[in-house]
Amino acid sequence: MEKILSVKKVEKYYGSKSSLTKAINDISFEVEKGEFVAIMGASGSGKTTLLNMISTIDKVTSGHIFVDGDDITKLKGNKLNKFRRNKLGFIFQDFNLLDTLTGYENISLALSIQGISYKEQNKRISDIAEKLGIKAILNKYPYQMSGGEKQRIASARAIITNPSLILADEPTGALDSKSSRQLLNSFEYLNKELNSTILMVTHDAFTASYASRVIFIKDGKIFNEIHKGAESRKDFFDNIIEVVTLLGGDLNDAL
Amino acid sequence: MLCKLSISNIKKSFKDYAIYFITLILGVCIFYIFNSMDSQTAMLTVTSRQNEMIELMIQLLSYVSVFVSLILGFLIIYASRFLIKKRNKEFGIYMTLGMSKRKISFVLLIETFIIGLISLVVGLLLGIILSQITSIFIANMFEADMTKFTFNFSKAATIKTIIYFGIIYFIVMIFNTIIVSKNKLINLLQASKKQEKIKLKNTIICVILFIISVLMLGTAYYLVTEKINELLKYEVSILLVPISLGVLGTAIFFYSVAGMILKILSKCHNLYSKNLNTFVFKQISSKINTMVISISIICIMLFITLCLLSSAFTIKNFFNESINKYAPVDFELIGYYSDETKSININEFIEDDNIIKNNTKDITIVTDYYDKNLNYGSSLGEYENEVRDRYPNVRYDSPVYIIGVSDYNKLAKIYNCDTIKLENDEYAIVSNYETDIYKEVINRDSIINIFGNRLKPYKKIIDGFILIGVNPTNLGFFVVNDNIIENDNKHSQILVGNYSTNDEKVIEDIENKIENYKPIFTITKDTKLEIKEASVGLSAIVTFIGLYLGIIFLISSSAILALKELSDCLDDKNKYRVLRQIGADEKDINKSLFKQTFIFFMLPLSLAIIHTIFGLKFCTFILSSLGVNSILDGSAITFAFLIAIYGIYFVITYMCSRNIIKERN
Repeated sequence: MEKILSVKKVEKYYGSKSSLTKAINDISFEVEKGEFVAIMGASGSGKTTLLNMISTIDKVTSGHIFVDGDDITKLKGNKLNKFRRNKLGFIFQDFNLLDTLTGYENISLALSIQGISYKEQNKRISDIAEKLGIKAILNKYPYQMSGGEKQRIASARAIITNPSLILADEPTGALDSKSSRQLLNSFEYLNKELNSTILMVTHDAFTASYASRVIFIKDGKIFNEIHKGAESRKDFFDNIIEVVTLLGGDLNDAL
Repeated sequence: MLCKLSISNIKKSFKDYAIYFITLILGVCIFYIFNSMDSQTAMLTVTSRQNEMIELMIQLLSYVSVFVSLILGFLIIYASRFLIKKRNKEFGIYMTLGMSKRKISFVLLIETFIIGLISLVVGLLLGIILSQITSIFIANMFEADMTKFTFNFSKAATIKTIIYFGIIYFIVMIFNTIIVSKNKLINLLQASKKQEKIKLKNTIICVILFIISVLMLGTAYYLVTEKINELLKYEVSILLVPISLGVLGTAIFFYSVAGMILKILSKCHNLYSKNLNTFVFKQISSKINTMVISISIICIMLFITLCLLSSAFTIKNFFNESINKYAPVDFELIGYYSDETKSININEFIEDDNIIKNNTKDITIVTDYYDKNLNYGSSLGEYENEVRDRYPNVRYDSPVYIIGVSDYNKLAKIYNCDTIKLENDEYAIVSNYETDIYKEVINRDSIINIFGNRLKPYKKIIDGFILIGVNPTNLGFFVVNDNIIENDNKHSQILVGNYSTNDEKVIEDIENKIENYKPIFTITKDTKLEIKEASVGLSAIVTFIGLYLGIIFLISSSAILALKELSDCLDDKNKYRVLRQIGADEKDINKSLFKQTFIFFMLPLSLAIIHTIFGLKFCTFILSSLGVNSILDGSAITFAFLIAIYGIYFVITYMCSRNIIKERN
């Protein structure tokens, strides 16, 4: 299998010498093409820091991160932007849609930045809109949409450029349970049908149960890792809950 | 404790306050400079006439200052509202920590006080320094000698500035307190999260409104240019029609323009979907839609500034040039005949005084006449009735004067004009006033009756004048052959001449003698020096008032735009983060920011410039009664001014907003 992402001995320290905080303490893992990986951990476990470093928003203290074989910890300036533009798609908890643009324009902007022609943009957007069921809201502005609709537009924006890796940071965090389920179904569709590789950070076991593999992080280290394999989602969910219980108190609160 | 908080707040947000500070300091500085004219002019050696002019100017400037302080007051209140809005979350946190609204108001009060104090002190210092330079400029304007350079400082202006700005800051404090006390905690805390509601406007309505606004503006333009003559037949208040059309048209224009242009652009798919263009266009349109009123006011202020400064500079230049042209001799004395004085010998004034006699040259004496049957109306011949219909408000019974051709040629020689030769049955019109009426009279070859002789017109109007002045306002003198003139109808005797000396003391002495010459007949006197001083004074007054208001308007407009842009930038920080996440290049992001700022600054200016093109035509029309033909000279300096002030604000705004959206790792 082709490796999309490999994280090698990454460390991230905050603070000065006298009061050093190890947000990430020697983490290594790999994600293969077509995988749907969830990273779980309590608040402060370092999962968002890890995601930020993979998405090049934050810099590693030591170690390397390879995406499609390129060491992204060495990238700088416009090469970074180019990397994000061509290789990554982002989905955030608070959607991060541009509120002056319509749904359509939010999606097309990602393509415009890549210099893709209007015709091609139009074709791709109507294609993805069909698949994600967002045709009816394309001409609405974010303030006219529900949370679930916004997040599906954000997903469409993330996937439209055919990125190597989609990064999702608590994508269901601001959604009610029905919208969450709809969104996760969309993720499943992207993963299974379009063969997208997704790396998702969450503290919600139900959300994580949609993934094919879950990596647990505690205090900046990998604590455990479980695969879904041939299990049903219900069984996988139970497995996740088991690990969460093992992990200790904090995460239980989040359930 | 609260004071400490205030001070640290100011220190912390100094960068965000930069534009606010600069505006306050400039406001104080300009206010001081224009109110300290008395001390700036104190060291000039001026004549009593110039002194009167300077006093008049100082008085007028102090009236204008009241108006200026009103504008600055509004500007400062507007600006501080922006700054408070930005700090909603901070206030929210204070409140959750248990600070009462009264205490928060107190923190704000202290902040306003400190900022006010600093800006006042810095502004005054800057004003005092700059007023040393402007005093040189003033001396130049009044063409006065600055005998010695002395440091000038106006205590009165300083106190006045402190009082006026003290009141303004006091009102700002009250406003701030009201704003804070009206806020709810939940709104304060979630202010940054609140999603912007896009004001959606119906495109069809936008298009219709846009067309209406263009029509309104077009009508207003048409009225003040093409239809101006007809318009002025009515009361002056009729001008309110094009003015209100213009104001309303401007507001509707800005209400509809964003929606309209966006509609058009979104059809140009390739442009619209290129790089960050979608984002840029949408940002600007939402910005404009949220501040229709402010942007309209800014546009109108810019328009007034442009017209005011252009006219002021034009008048100044015009006076400087025209005096030499229209007052080619050093003095002119006119004695009038009346029933009591049938004979006048004005030459005695020169002959009876040896000093005058020895220090003057080119003495020329001519006589002009009247024909009681000839007035302005009848001088138009057959054309009279038509003109009366077109311009009913002109006084057609005012007399016109007649001069013999030999007398005219004597004057023409000394005035450096062309001499003329007339046939026996001809008359000539000497005029330099911009009007086509007499031209038409000549075109029609209309015969008129002078002293009982039917005369036909000379082939063209003679560009010239009899009496000296500051501008070409000679409506028309009639020249006829000497033998036609009836000697009983003398109107006046005119004496012109030049000084033959360069000795200023002697000239001043003669000027005084002219001033005090009181013969038994009625007399009017003009000297070139006097005309010069009066007109220089007048042009200085106009220029200073124009500059004062113009600069204040410019600063206000630029500051409002800058503050709006910066506060939007703070709100939009997250948008730029999103752009980076979806992979926009830093270069493109800065470019999009530049485009936004540029279009945002240019839009009100563009419409203001279009307004100005027509406004200046109107100004030219009004000024043409002075003899001004072109306003272009003034416009060039004005645009230089505009680009300097507006440009500085634009650059600072762009720099600051680039700084705001910069991501720091």
